[in-house]
Amino acid sequence: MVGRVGIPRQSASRRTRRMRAILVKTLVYLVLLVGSSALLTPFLWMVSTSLKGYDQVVASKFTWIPKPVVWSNYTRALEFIPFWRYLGNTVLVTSMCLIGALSASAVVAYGFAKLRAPGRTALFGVLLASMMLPGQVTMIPVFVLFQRLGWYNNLKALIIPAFLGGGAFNIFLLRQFYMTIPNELCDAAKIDGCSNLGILVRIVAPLSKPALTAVGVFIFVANWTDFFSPLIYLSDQEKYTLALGLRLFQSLHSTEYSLLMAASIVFSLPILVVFFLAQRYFIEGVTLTGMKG
Amino acid sequence: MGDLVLSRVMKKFNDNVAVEIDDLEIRKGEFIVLLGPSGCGKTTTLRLIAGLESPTRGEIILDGKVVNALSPKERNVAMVFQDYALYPHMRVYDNIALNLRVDRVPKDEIDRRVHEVARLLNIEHLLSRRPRAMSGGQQQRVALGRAIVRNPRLFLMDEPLSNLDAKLRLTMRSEIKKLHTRLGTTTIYVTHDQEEAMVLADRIVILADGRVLQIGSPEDVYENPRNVFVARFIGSPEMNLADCRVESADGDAWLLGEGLRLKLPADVMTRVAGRGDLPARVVLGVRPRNVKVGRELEDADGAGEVTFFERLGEVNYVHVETGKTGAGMDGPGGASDGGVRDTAGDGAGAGVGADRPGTTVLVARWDEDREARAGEQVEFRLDRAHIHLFDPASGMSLLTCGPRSR
Repeated sequence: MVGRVGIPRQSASRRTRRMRAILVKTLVYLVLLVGSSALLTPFLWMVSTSLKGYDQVVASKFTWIPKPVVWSNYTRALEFIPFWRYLGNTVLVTSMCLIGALSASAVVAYGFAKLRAPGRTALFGVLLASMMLPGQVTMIPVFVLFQRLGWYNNLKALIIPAFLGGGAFNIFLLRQFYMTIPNELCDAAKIDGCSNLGILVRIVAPLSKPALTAVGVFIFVANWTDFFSPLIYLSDQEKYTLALGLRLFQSLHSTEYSLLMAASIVFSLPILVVFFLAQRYFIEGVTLTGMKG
Repeated sequence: MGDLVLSRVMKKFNDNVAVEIDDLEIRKGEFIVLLGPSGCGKTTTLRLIAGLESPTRGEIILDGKVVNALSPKERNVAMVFQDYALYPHMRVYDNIALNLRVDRVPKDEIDRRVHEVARLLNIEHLLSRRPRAMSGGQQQRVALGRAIVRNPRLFLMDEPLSNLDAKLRLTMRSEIKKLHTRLGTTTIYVTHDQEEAMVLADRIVILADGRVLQIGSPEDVYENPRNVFVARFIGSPEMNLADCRVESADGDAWLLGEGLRLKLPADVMTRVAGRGDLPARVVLGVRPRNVKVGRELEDADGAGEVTFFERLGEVNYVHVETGKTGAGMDGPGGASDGGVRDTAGDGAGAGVGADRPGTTVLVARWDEDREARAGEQVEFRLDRAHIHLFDPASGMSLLTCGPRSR
């Protein structure tokens, strides 16, 4: 009722401003649409190919919708390689690495963020510098070392390193997050009788859930998809992980793309699931410093 | 021997000495306030006692045992932080219970004690809330509860009231005092608010630049400040300080300041430290409540002009600029000449309130019902029993003990 007088006279400038806002929004969505479809196209191609028969894959004219839809590609793909064994290996390696790298980086980051010690800053500099070092540089010495330790052709070579530090980038990320947690909280916990480990477990880690989730996802994806380390350390086929299994598959059936794509999709599913489950946490974001009410 | 002793304790951060305390003894059950301006080392002292910092040298002795190497838990101290430092991800119940859980106290006993403390502090209805969903005052209570629940041998409080609004601060202040009376736990409380210190403390420890300037009961530090710093820090409004020359005439000592001339009574002279000689220049100190102001007084010590009337309601104050009126203030009855001539006040850190050369501002309580007008000419008289004399060079008090010495 009150507003009625104003409505007909709604100023022209306000209307153009609203028009402009709509225009900008439309543009933004358009850019996002183009971008995301560019990223999704290969994935859709993979799904489409995985459901095609051999004749459709090699046909000169490309079609998006397979006709007929060949579901049996999936069962055939899983039978062609010892899929379940490889899945078992992969789950073992990935879960151990997740536990190892996540707990190690959480502890090391706590040291860098909250413990005063001479040389701490310098040591952190060294850690950051090690991020600049490509893995290929250390590959051969590390390989020789692991071989001498008797870890060659053994899943140990993939698992044990995860417990030793947990990765420079993960440490860096967690350390930055821990720094935002007020020291007073740690002091209070110390007064309450907590040891440093107690402070980490009871106070710092629960407050760093978003960061820990993000790091956990990184570690999971990195190890699930890791091709390089299994390739150089594993020689027995029954010790292979899925990533390696896919390659094996590829060399045996280099022309049967539909089977390869079917196996790749099954391989990628856990990553998608993990990402969607964890998304809630890291979108929740960094809102946890509340000291005062 | 005290319950807690700091003996020759020193703490350095890098190369800066933050705290240096030669000897501080705290008796069992005492409420001690560490008072000082920001950066004076009072919080560091508290953290040393808590065990959150370790001293560079010296010993912290708790109950006859050196505790330097012990953790806060082993010392059994509890601390209330300035920002409360409640764990944001835990409910109030868990916040209070954490230290009992760490000690592996049985579950049902934890439950009993948490509820007991919550009842005591009136926060029982908040136990399932999270800190963020509470007001500052409520968070403050939770922080106190967390400290009380384990029956510590020492309570340490680091400016616990500074984040509360003025009114709530007064309420919590009296509650903390009541709590102390009830529990009888030795308490060490850090603040920069002298009023808080006066109200709460059994004894006040005044710190500046990491050193103890004076230790005494609130009354003692108020009545007998040992130096200019303490004199100014304690009491509100601040103590008036004026640069004076000392001259003697007919065996009497006279103080001559800007627009002010008074004869020191014999009993003050007997309290002068040492051989009873005053230096040629002194800083005269007197609290506003001990200055009588009126249009015409008998035996006035001086006169001046009102520059400002300060109405606080309960008590009102006037600011009087002395030395603005001319008349006959320049000699002790025209006798002995050759005293030290005035060379414009240099109180040596005494911070004498001289606004412009030749004048001194004197704050005094205004007892008349009417308002004083700016520009009004008044006379004033200082209460001889409550004057203080300080050495302008060192800032130390020249009187052995104060007027109402015990």
